[in-house]
Parts: sequence; structure tokens; C-alpha cells
Amino acid sequence: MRSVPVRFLPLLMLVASAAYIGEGCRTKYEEAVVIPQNLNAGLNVAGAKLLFSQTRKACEGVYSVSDGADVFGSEIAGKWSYVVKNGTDTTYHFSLFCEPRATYFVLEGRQVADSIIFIGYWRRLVNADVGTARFVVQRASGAKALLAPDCCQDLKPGDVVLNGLYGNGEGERKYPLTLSFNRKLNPTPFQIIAHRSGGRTSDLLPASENSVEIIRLAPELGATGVEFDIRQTKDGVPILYHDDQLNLRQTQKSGLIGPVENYTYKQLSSLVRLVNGEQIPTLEEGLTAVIDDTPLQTVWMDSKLIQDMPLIREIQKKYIAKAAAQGRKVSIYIGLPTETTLNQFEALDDHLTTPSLCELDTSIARRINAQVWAPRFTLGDPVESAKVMRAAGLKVFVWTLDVPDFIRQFIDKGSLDGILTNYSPVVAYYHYVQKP
Amino acid sequence: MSTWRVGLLACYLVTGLTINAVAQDIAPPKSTTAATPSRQQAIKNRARLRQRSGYKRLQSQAPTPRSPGFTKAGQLRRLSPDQLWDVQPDSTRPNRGPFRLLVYTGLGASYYSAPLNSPVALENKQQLRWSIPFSLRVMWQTDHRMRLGIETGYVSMYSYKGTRNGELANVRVSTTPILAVFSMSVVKRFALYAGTGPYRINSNLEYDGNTRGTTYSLGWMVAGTYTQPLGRNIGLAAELKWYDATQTKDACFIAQATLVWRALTW
Repeated sequence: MRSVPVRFLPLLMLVASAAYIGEGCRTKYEEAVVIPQNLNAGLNVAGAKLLFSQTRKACEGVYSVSDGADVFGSEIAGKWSYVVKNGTDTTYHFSLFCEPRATYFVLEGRQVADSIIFIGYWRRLVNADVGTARFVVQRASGAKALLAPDCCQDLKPGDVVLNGLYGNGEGERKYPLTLSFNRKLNPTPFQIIAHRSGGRTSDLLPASENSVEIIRLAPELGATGVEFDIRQTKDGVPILYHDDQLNLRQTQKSGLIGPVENYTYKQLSSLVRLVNGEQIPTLEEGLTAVIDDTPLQTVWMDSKLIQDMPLIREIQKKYIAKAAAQGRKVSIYIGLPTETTLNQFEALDDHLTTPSLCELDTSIARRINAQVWAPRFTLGDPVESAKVMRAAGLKVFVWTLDVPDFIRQFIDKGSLDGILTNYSPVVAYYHYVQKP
Repeated sequence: MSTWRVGLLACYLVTGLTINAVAQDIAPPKSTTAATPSRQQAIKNRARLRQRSGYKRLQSQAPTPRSPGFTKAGQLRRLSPDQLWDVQPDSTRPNRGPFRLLVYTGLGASYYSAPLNSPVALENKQQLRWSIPFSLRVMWQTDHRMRLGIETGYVSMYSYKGTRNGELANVRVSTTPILAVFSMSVVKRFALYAGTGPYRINSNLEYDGNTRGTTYSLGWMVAGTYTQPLGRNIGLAAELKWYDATQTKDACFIAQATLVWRALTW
């Protein structure tokens, strides 16, 4: 009994436990999902043409799934978006939103001869599943109608069929997936607002949360708006950053730790990079990306820690004017989550005419003449209050809603104007497939 | 940390301590044999020591040939301060003790062993992973095999510097562990240590002014020592140690010389 191994046992168990617990606390954010690359090679063939805008518009709709319904659900919603790179290079993406496990496709399309080809990737947001997909719309399966100059006023169910194959990872595409046009998307105005400027780093997206790159990605995920987390640096520069500390959840290891407000913008921009290598953006860089590079319609500027509300107001005014000058209708709201920010906001001379979003109770939202009332969904069913507020002329967004059953319930009740979510593809699916 | 992880740790501890208690076989009673003159002297010395320490030895506890304080030849075994559990009565006896407080102070060299990627924006980058760490550990030596204690110290984990637009940037990161430590003697003069607790991580940036930052990172440590006795209450140990601040992904390997002082006995 007194052998050395027995003597060791308690201590070895302790060491193993300490190491196991410690390892359990280790963050896993570096395990990025690798999105298949070089998919454009299948599109850039001789004679391939970009699709006309009316063709793209006509492709949008709810599709019934025949082959592949067991994996991607019985219906899929297809919606186009665009992103502008380098100021002039516009790329259009055809996103497909599925019900099971927050699955979405991001495809690009070309006309090749008398057919239309879509190639891209698919991803499940709730795990690391990813793969590629390729669809063909042949002349007899709807390409003739879609490519016609007078396309396409009144597609009927079955008029367009996307015959496709998909694969897992970088593997061969060998599983059939067939989509048949069923009906148009739900036209009811509704804001799908992506949390943390597009999505969370923990969901292993190809861009970090609160980066310019995730803002550009947000429309592909189904978002029509984004929520920014605003803080100010030591020298007063408003930046997009969620947590109150520099940490490995959001940034690469740099040795810099502690409150982000302790650092100047020059220090942060020179020495700190977000998890996927991006620079921490300023608020102005974020708003520029929204207006210049995306079709996003709503910006919810969540005031995490603001020292200079008049500066935020000036930036808001500047970018509302910029959007208007470009003919864009972009709603930019100052979010008011706490009494502190509310007091700062009410100190503004023009706060009654400033577009704002109030997360506090309904009486405060009315008092400050907020344009949006945004209750937290966990505080209870906001439907009755939402009706009252909408009758008073306010929009109602709830936050932060990720559970598919709740999302469907809220959308079915039709009493909201928007949902803030980490899973834009889920909200997009339930909104677009809903029959008006 | 999830509840089930804490539960698992508690389960491990209880199981480990139980096994440890069972593992201490009680010396079977044997008839007292005639003690050699040298051994009689040793017994007297030992009694004097215990009286000095305030520990009241029961008259009925006659030393036996299997008493671990003696060699097979009946000579008093010379023990390091780190091996004192060996000469104590079994913890299953009704009278407990003696208890001791051991103080360890160490100084040596550390190597930062976790990945270190200084910012890509810097030019002319230089990194330094070596430093001279200091540690202080206080252990309560029970009359059981497992000791309990706390450890702290200071380790300058790493630093790097480089230029950005011609301006020098210098970053230094250090840690002060605040750890609950458990230890066991393995064989003569060798002991193993394991601990867990928070590491206070400090950073200092010199670029566009001076900015300091602090955060706490949960982590763990393991260490092994070999102790050479220098006197009755003093020893010198060679110590190898691994610090791991898990949440901030900081880890360093330390080799140091440790002075062991038996500060209190009761």
C-alpha cells in the first residue's frame, strides 16, 4: 500500500484536475472555420456574364426543396445582397437561408450560354459544418424566363428550378440539392439587425465582431441592419468594441490588457488587432462601411461607454447627411441602454429631434421622443406594449433574440419592426418565408 | 468555470485524500526489543526536541524498530526539512501533530514558453522571453502527507519592442501568482507541488505615453523540488516549476534555487 505510485496518486489527481480545469477555461476562439476559397474559378469561364439586375431580382423568392430537404429543410429563402470592395468593385451575393441549425448559403451567379450558374459555400452558424455548392438553372428550367429582357413579372411555382450538388468541407460535391421556385419573399418591411456589427467572433465567422470586415459580411448573412458597440478611447476617439477590457476573446495576444478606455487610439491602432487580424475600427470607419459598401438600412449605435455624447451626435448627423447625399435611406440611431447614457443624451440641446433608440421603459422612450423602443426580450412578452408604442408612431425592435422558436413566434405575431440577433440567417429565414 | 468541473475537483480531492489515508498502514505492534546505546541516545534527543517544540509525547508511544525516523541499522536518519512527515506519528492516532510552517523563497531563471506574436505593425521587433523570477511559498506541514499552502512571487514573463513610424514602442508583461498549493513528498528529499488560483497579469506600454494594465487570469502550476538539508531548520532546494495562466494563455518554465526554512513548529 505504501508504494510510490499510491503515494503519488492524490497529487497526480490534483495536478490532472487543475490542468483539466485550467484547460477548460482556455478560450477556443482561434478555431476559425475555414470557408472554401477559389470558388470563383467555376464562374470565370469563357463567355460567362454578370447577371442583369432584373434577373437577380427575379431569383429572389421562397424555394421548395426536393432533393436535400432532410438536410436543409423543406423551404429555403433566397435573397440578393451586395458588397463594395476598394470603393468601386461591387460583388453580388445570392444568399439562401434555411431553417435547420442556422444554415445559409452564399453564392455568386453568372450567365453561361443560355444557363445560369451559382457557385458558393454553405455554413451552419451553430457549429463548424461548412461545404461548397453549385447550382445550375438550365434554359428549360427557368433560365429562358430569367434571362429575358422583360424578366420577370409573375413567376409561378415551378417556373425556376435550381439543380444543384453540394459537398462537405473541401470535398467533392456529390449530394443532390434541388430547389424549385414557390413564391415571392415576404414583402413586409422588417429589420434584421445583426449583433456586434454582423456576428459574434465565437460563432467562428471569417471576420471578427465589430470589425469593418464583419459589417461588409452582414448582408450576406441576411442582415438589413447592424448594431455597433461604441466606446471611446483615452483621447476620445469613438471606436467599435464590445467588452470593457482588452482580452483574448476579441483580440490577438499583444500584451496589452485592461480597460480599452485606458489606451489612446494611436496605441490601439498600432499594437492591437482583432482576433482575425483586423484593426479596431473607429465609429466613422464603421459608418463609412455601412453607407459606402453595403445595402444595410439601419445602424443601432449602442452606447457602451460614452464620455462625449455631443461628439457622437455630430458624427450621427454627418453620416445621416452622407447617406442622404448618396440617395441612401439609412437610419442611424443613438442607442440608450442605461440611465447614464440617457442623462448624457438628454443634455443634448436637440435631443428631441435626434434619432434615438431607447432600451429603457416606454415612458422614457416617449419623453425623449425616441424613434425606436427596444425592450429586452427576456423581460417578458412585449407584444401589448409594442402595439401601444407602434400606435404612438415608434418602431419596436427586441434584443437579443437567437432562439428559433421565439423568433418564429415574434415574427408570426407581426407586432415588431425588427429583431436584434446573433443569427441573422435564422431571422431572415422566418421573416422571408412568412406568408403575408 | 462550470459547476460540474468544481464538483469533479472536489470528488478528486476527497477520493485522493481517502486513498492517501488508507495508504498509510499502521505499524503493527511489536515487542520492544533492547535498544542499542546509540539508539537510546537518539530517543532521548528526540524527546528533548519534542519538548522544545511544545509537543507532548505520550508515554505509551514507545519507539519501535519500524519507526521511520531511524535507519535499518538503528541510526537516526538525517532528514531534510522537506521530509519531516517521515518522522511523525501516524495521523490515525488520536494525538495529532507536530505541525510545522515551512517558508520557501526562490530565485532563478524563467523562460516564457507560450506563443508570442508581437504586433505585425511593428518594425525592427525584438522579443525577450527570459527573466529572473522570485517566488515565496508558505506551506503548512500537517501530520499527514499532503501539505497545504500558498504561493506568490513575481515573474517578468516577456517583453518586446519595435518601432512604428519611427517611434519606439516597448511592452512588458509580468505576473504575480496568487496560488493555493498542495504538495507531497515522493521519495526522500523529493517533493511534488500542484496549485491553482489567479495570476495577476500586469502590462506596461511605453508608446504614445505610458499605459499600465492589469487583469486576473485563472491558472495552475506544478513544481518538483529536491531538497538538500543544510541544518536542522534550513535546507536548499533545486526547483523546476511550470506556471500556466490559462485565461490569458501565458505560461512559463522556471528553474530556481529555493531556500527552505522551517519557521514554526507546534
